[in-house]
Amino acid sequence: MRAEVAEVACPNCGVGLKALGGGRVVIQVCTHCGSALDAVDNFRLLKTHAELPRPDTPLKLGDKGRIQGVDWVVIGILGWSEAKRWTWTDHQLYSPSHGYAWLTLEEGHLIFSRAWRGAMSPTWMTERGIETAEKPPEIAARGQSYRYYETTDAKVTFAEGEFSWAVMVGDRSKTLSFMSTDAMLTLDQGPEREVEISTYPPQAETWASFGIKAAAPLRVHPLQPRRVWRDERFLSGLGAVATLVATLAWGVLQSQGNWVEPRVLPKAGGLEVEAELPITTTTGVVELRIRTDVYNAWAGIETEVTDPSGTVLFQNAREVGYYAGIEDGESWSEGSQVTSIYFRPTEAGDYGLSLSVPEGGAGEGAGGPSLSRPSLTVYEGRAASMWMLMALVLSALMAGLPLIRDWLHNRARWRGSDWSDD
Amino acid sequence: MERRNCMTCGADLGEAFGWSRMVNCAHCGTAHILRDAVFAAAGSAGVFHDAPGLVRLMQPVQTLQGRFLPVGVVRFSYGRGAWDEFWALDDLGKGAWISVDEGDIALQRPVAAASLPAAPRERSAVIAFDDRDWTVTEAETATCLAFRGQLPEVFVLGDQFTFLNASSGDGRILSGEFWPGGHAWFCGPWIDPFDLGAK
Amino acid sequence: MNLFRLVMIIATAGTLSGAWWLSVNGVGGESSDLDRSLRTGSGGNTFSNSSVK
Repeated sequence: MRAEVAEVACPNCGVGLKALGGGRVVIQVCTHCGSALDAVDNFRLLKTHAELPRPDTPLKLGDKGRIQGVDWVVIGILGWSEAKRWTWTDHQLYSPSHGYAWLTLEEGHLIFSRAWRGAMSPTWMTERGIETAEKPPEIAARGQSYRYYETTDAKVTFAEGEFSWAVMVGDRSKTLSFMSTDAMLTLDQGPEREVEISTYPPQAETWASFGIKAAAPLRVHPLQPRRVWRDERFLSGLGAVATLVATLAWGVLQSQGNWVEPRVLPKAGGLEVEAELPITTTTGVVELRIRTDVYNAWAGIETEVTDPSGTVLFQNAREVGYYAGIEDGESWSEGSQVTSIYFRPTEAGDYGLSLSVPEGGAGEGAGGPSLSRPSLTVYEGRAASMWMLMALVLSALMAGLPLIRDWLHNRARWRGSDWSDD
Repeated sequence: MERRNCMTCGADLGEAFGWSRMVNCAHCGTAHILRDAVFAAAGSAGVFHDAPGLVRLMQPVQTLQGRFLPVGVVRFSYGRGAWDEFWALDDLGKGAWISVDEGDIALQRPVAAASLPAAPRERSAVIAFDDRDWTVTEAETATCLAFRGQLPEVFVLGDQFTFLNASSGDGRILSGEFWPGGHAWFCGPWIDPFDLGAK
Repeated sequence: MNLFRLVMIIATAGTLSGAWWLSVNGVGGESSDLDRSLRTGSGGNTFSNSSVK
């Protein structure tokens, strides 16, 4: 707590300055003329800064709000900039019971930070350590793992009010930050070796506690928790059920169909097959499964199917090839000895099939077919299970919605990290 | 256990002197000390301005290190401000100091080691203790402002001593206190005010 | 139960039923390389680019 000092007069401009902070305030910057006063040495004038551009913040000295169940008062405002491109505003907060903390306003996001004195492993990290690391270094603290996020080299562009550390306009600060799933540890590379922990307070609630109505920010802040849709869990559950149903249905559809015994006609010879297919249903498709014994060889197979009235329904040419061997002690194989042709019967009845092998060869040559007569297996009423497979994929995506959104959110959170693998 | 009565107003001081060396009367505020079996009134216990704080006298606090009942408190000034040292008992009746300074809270117990110096060190000096290097972060003079309740040592209003705080980055704080003819060391963990629960 | 959930249940059930109907009826289940032009005796050229590997 602080010895009684309610108001001091600025030694430079004479304006009355309210003392809002506690006994650990070391510097007070005049709200009127920008003079920095030494709060430890009877508010001696340290330095005067001419008109400085005010940072864009709706909060002002003396504003009171509530964060993490604690009442805070804004006692100091600091403007920061990094490489003249990034700017943010720190508000020093004070609570008689909880001491000093920071509320940072960055691209519309409010971040709450306070000193962290708990155990860390390793106990410290330096910029040099980051530069020489092979992969992003991590710090273990609070039962969490904090992965390296970025190095910040910032300059104080504006100061007003009271601060718990001796800060002046123009001061530079180099920090290393490490992020876990919901918090950030910032290691100040100054001689004090201070560590701060930052979290993302509920934005609307925090603004409201300070009596301010603020617009929602556009970009995702690294510490921002993902917004969970109201019905996300429901959708995920529905997707899981649908995935299960689609998987079972797909299994059933895969085995759908009845075996049809082809009547192989004796008139054909050699590699040729002539057969009659007694098809009984027009539901689904007919599968002609042609099995060969090509081995380190290929064969061109021509088929022609006629409908029960004798009209040619279609012709088809397929190639099968199967190659296998042993290389460097590992056996390999490639291609297939089997091929399936699917067609839609137009009516029930006897379909005619003629199959021939006009071309082929051993190896990759074209020296003529090198196989026995192909065998034929026929099924009717086969299902086109790809539709159910598509439904299965859609269902799985729906079931995985929270995971997908988690992944996207995490990617957005880490986008600002300055770690590169080179 | 022996009971004592206030030497000024006669009020019951309770079963206080089992371990404490100092107690102040809850009724009239007179401080009493027990020194070499001599019980004496020690005069005023100082003015104790109530300040908002997470730790309060006779209200148990739950820390990650266990539950503590603050039975006594001493307030020290460091010039610009002041901090409180609570003497608190754990569930086994063992005492520890809980120091409270605007949200900086630490739980310390007395320590002794040959490497701990008998005289104060300056800021940034390094002290060896418990196989670690401790850097002095603060070295100042404190004045005893006031006290309340039961305390294991005798404090005199206006007494001054030099103190230092040192850190090794392992979540603990090492403190040394130095006065003419003596010194004492204390060490223990920082307590996150957000981890502190009133129980 | 809110309207959105009801709509989603119906849409999911509809998708699964639709997928089942299309699958069972073999819609789009024909091989894509069927030659329906009624020329006969051709097909030899199909193998001219034969290269398995």
